[in-house]
Amino acid sequence: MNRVRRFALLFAAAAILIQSPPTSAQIITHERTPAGLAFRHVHMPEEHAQALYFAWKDTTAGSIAGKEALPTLATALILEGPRGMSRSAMIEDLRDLRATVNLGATVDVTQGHLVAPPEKFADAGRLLARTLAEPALSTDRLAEIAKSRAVSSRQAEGNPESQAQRLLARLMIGEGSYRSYATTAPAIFERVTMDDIDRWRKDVLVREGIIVVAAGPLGATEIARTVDRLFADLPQAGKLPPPAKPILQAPGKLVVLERPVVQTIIAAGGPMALAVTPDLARTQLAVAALGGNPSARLWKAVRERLGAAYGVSTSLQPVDLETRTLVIRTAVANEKAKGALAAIREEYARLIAEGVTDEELEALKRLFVTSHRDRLRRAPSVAANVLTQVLHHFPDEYLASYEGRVGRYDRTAVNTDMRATFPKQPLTAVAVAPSADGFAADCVIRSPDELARCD
Amino acid sequence: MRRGFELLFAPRAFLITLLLLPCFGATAAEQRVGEHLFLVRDKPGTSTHFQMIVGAGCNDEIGGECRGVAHYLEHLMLVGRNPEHKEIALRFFSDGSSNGWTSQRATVYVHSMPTRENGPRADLEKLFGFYAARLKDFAVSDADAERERNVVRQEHDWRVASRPFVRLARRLDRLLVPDHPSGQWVIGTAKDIDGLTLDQARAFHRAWYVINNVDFVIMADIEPAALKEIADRALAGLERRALPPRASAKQPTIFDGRIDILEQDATIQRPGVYFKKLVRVEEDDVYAIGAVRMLITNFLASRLPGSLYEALVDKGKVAVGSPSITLARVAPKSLTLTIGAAASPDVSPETLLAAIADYVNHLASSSLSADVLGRLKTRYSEGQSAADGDPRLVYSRLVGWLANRSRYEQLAGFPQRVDAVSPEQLAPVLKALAGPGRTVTGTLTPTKDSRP
Repeated sequence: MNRVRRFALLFAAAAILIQSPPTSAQIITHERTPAGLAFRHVHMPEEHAQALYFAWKDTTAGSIAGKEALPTLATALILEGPRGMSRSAMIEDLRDLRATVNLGATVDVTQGHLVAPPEKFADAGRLLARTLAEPALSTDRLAEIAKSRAVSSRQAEGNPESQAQRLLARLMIGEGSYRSYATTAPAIFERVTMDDIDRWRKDVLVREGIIVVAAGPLGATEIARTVDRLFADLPQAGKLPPPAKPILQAPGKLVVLERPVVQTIIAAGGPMALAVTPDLARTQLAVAALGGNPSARLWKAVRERLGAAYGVSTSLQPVDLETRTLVIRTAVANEKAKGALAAIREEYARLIAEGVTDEELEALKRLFVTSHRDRLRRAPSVAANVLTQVLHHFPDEYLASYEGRVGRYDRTAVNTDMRATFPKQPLTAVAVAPSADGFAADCVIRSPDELARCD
Repeated sequence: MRRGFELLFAPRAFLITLLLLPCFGATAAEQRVGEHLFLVRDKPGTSTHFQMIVGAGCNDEIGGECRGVAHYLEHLMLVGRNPEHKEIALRFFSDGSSNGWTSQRATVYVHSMPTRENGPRADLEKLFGFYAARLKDFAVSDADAERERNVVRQEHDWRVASRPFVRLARRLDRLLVPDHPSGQWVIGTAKDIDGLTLDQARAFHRAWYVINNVDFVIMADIEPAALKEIADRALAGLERRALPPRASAKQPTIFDGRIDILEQDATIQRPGVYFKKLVRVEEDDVYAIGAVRMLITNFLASRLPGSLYEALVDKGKVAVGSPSITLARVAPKSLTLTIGAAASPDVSPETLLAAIADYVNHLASSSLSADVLGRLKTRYSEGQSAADGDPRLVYSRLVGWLANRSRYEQLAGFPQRVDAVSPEQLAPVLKALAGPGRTVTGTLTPTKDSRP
């Protein structure tokens, strides 16, 4: 082989290495810090930002009646900043570093992240470490945040879209903490004390059970230093309440809330009978075929054939980490609301009966693969996705094998899965409309407070 | 000896290549492939993105009245069924996405497609072919046009009519700028939409959908020459035409004084206010003033010393959450400042409004210290440098620039303009904002019955 040819081959090899498409699998390595904390690391040398995502499973909100908002308020209060520093000063320092930090909570996971350019990652980490270790935790500020959240919740109640969604959640989730959380009852923000938050910090923000994922250009050794700075001094373990599972129900009723509205809001759905596994995408393909984009069935029925709405969405909504409901939502012209609801029911019934077509499935599979590749292009997205797969106990190769798995789903598999997991008919539905006339509603109410009589 | 040389040289060549390639390949700067054609080169294996930017929006509607015609036309283009394609443009790529958006200055059509085994050529040929035909004319049946008008009406009712604060903001904008299309909203009013006709859309199309008034921006893994060949072939038959005069080029009248609007709504729990002001500024260099405006906006929206947040929330305790801020150039020498804020519990909206007015009236060069100005400039500069290496950020930055109808030739030099902004350049704009002008305020409170 002559020198020129060899050089050309080497050049080509280097070019391929550098220009490698984002489809190439991200390699997850298991690392441990000097202080003994385990973390997962994805090295992305070309990335411009270093991301660190972390989470704890947290049974507080779902298990302790009256304390549903405790993780939400606790994380918000911690993010007010460390002692001796205002929240505004902290935010502006982070902007100087071009860094973002967050700490928040769902009903069963407390989660945070730190994202910064690699050269500023350690400084941003120091700021977050101070915030976690020495939060100001002002009682006055807690009262302000709680009051503000309660007012926001009541204000959202005035919005017919929020109202319809909350009523649907109220119908699908049995009485208890999960329902209070899902419906964002204003009262849940008024029952959290500073003692609750102190106790919660000691029980939840601990070394045991913490999940840490890093993705970006920095090496594992450098990441380990920041991980230790953030978490090494946390208590080793805490006491969490025993987990409680949400109670799901499918009354299959149509409830109409009568109130003056510009458009009728329709929310319909039901509990999914599924386990969250690496094959969740198989179910998501059928959900996408039902609604959302201009090729989906509900869009064609409600917008294109009826001209009744600007859009219609279909989604799998988490009740907790393992549980999902199917929710269809749209805002439609009042005079076309009955037709739109009928069209939604018909399309749903047809999809269950006839199944997804090959044409629909193949297009959606390509769409899913493209979205997946886009998710793997940036470090924050990679870290967030790996964190989610760890929370669900998916194997390390989950992201790398995603394209192959999606590619193998055929029509039979998708339709069999759909019929086993999608809500049974009739769907439970709520309409917030000026009048219930003609809806053939099972229950008509004039205030959300009257919903109890629809049970 | 020769072999020895190769063994010694080859790894170095490999390393040199690795070091050199990012210099050529990793920088994501756009390339101007034709007069109105731009390429942001992306990696192999990435999806293809296409946007056509028409340099006309609702400000350019007939008679200087923005009634939603440009936006309606955008819908019709995407749902019409023309002779050369059986599927509507919104569904051209069932494995991708298609959409559009309209602003006061532009109408933009957006498509993205997954990577293809044979590259993006076929998808791009389809899109250039489609839009070349659409720059000549468009077809849509009367029934489809009427249905789509209903869809637009539903979009309006969902985005505007159902939201009390949004409704109020629109009313205030018209009071602030009553004699210029920038005082009207792109989507139009419910009455405007119900009166939209296909003829109006066709007239707008004839006036503005011209090859010399559009830009194409593509992000894809394709050679520039190949892209140019596809575009040139598709667009070859299109003729340049003179554009009509733009009604938005005139300056709106500034009626000095203040109007206060008070509304109540039963669905509101937390009172909120808007403060809007229209002022005149001198602008010898539009782009230099643009850099000044951007820095002032970033300052006002920050929590830095002297910021609005510090005045209203940290020190004044009269507002909750972050106030919303926009500082827009609505016409030559004409800026509008809009501030929106929610009142703290137990603070009256009148008190909040007075605090905002007091803050604006005292804006001066001293409001923004040299230290703060330096921080803002450093942030912008570092952010731009980081964005330069990311094709997606380069792509969106270019589309935003062109859709604002800014001259492409000015884009590369804008960071230097920002870096050059001095306190002396800030002073006249801050003084104008604090000085005389037209002020319109709006207050939205709960009704007596709905108060908690």
